[in-house]
Amino acid sequence: MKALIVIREKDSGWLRDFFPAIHPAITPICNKPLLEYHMDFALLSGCTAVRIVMDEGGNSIEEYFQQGERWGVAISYGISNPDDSIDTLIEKNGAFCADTPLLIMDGFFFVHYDKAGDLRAPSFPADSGLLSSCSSGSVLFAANADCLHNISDSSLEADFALSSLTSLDDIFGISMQILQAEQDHYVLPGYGVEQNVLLGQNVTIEKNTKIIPPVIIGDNVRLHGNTVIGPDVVIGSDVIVDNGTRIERSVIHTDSYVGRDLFVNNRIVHGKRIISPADGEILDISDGYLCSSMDMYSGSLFRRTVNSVSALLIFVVQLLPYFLLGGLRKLQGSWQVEEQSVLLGNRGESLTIPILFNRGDTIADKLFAVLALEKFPLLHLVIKGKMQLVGNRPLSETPAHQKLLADFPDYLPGVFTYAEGEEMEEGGLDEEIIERYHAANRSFRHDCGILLKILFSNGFTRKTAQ
Amino acid sequence: MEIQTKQNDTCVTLTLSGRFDASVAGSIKETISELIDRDNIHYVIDLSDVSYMDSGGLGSLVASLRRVREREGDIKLSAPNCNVRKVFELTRTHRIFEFYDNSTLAAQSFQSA
Repeated sequence: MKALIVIREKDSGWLRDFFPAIHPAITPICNKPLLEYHMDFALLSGCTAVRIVMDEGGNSIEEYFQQGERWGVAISYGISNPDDSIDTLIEKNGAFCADTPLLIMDGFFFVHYDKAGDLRAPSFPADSGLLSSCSSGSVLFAANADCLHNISDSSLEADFALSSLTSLDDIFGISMQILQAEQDHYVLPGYGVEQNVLLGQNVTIEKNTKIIPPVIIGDNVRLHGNTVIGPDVVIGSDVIVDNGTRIERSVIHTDSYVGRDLFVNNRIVHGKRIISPADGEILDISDGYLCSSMDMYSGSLFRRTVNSVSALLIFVVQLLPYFLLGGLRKLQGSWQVEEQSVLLGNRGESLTIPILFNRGDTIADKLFAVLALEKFPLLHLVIKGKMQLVGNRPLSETPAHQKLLADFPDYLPGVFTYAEGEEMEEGGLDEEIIERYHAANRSFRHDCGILLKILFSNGFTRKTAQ
Repeated sequence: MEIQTKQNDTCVTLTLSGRFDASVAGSIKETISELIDRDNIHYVIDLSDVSYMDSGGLGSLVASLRRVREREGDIKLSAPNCNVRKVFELTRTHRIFEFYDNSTLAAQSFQSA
């Protein structure tokens, strides 16, 4: 038997508002990605191959599951369109689905099962049909692909149940349910040191720290002195909980720092973000001493240094021509500058930058364009670390661009842009493709190539009108 | 980069192999353009033997799709390898193409449409 796992953005996309950097399907539940519960369920049901079909990019999913070696199963991936019906998906994945019984998990839900139970699905055509469903998805069984047409309830009694995932409270509630009563039902990461306490590797528990079960703690966690953890707490990997903090009935996600002398109760902590699961209220903490992402301590110093030094070099080279030619253009009346608020990332941060227009046709205007001097007023922002030297075309702060950035995690605005490197006109799908492609393939060498192309190759063909 | 063309009653199948980058993007656009001029509007592009695709290759597919859709036709893609599929996903162009396990299934989808 094979399993077809269908992940649709329309069912799961709401979760990106809370955790934009995580694909909803790998949201952790008791330190295990949601999709891994699906995977375990498929394996326990007797599946020997799994295909994950998504209508939104799932790079992080592929990085996590890879080809399935860790699970001893062949995992492959497929692309779907948001409106594809099950029939269409079977047609598109026809080679995978041919000549085999199929278990289809379609939607965004949690599947409750007991690893000690008997989940082997029979393979008779008469058993085909809907095994179980909830408001956000269903599990189907088909003895063969043809059995999926005009599907009705299966006569089988399913030894599992589905829970809808339509709010953060649903996810939090399932974490608490597993923690309190179902730890034995699933394979969870960590080893048991006492009843209802699971610890990962490299966990440091300092003196006077109290752990009250049930608690699950991930790898590389440091609990400083006088902390009280539990009851009902899940802590992810790479987490520090500082002195004197008490955490109860909460979930602390991977890569989080929880500051000292805090009381965290009924919350999800995700980096610098504290969320109330009951009402979805988000509190973004600006004080890194209270709560922060561990990422802020591990940024690429090399990249920032290279960016700043390169910008400084260009700044020095452009300084004299900028003031000479700029002064000349002002005298000629072709100097035009506007301020524009541009987005720095997909969390709504913005920055006001000066945009120099170059619409004249004099020799000074042409030289100004050839030497890319319109970039000069932006270079100090690179030196200060607020923009990249080479990056995406800065997007103005509009609702449409904010929406675009919601699914553009690689966006980093640059003084010199990828679209310029490819001599792409502003706006439209072609530019978006180029910008996304280069942002995803960003590297020191790659960005150097783009910069040289803009400065030397494109410089002499650059038009003065912008 | 090799391009093999096979025509049946419902569509033209183009089988590409090797590196699909900016250096061959022009020949794809040209090939499809010539076929459009001969009233072929349904295409399957078999990517199973494409080892690498960059933004230039992708751009030629998008440009060709645009031309074909102007004539109410379509381009369906089959069997991209993992790296090629990721390029579609990264650039969000997976939303505008239909992907099939193999070229036979993609060609059949034109018959059933």
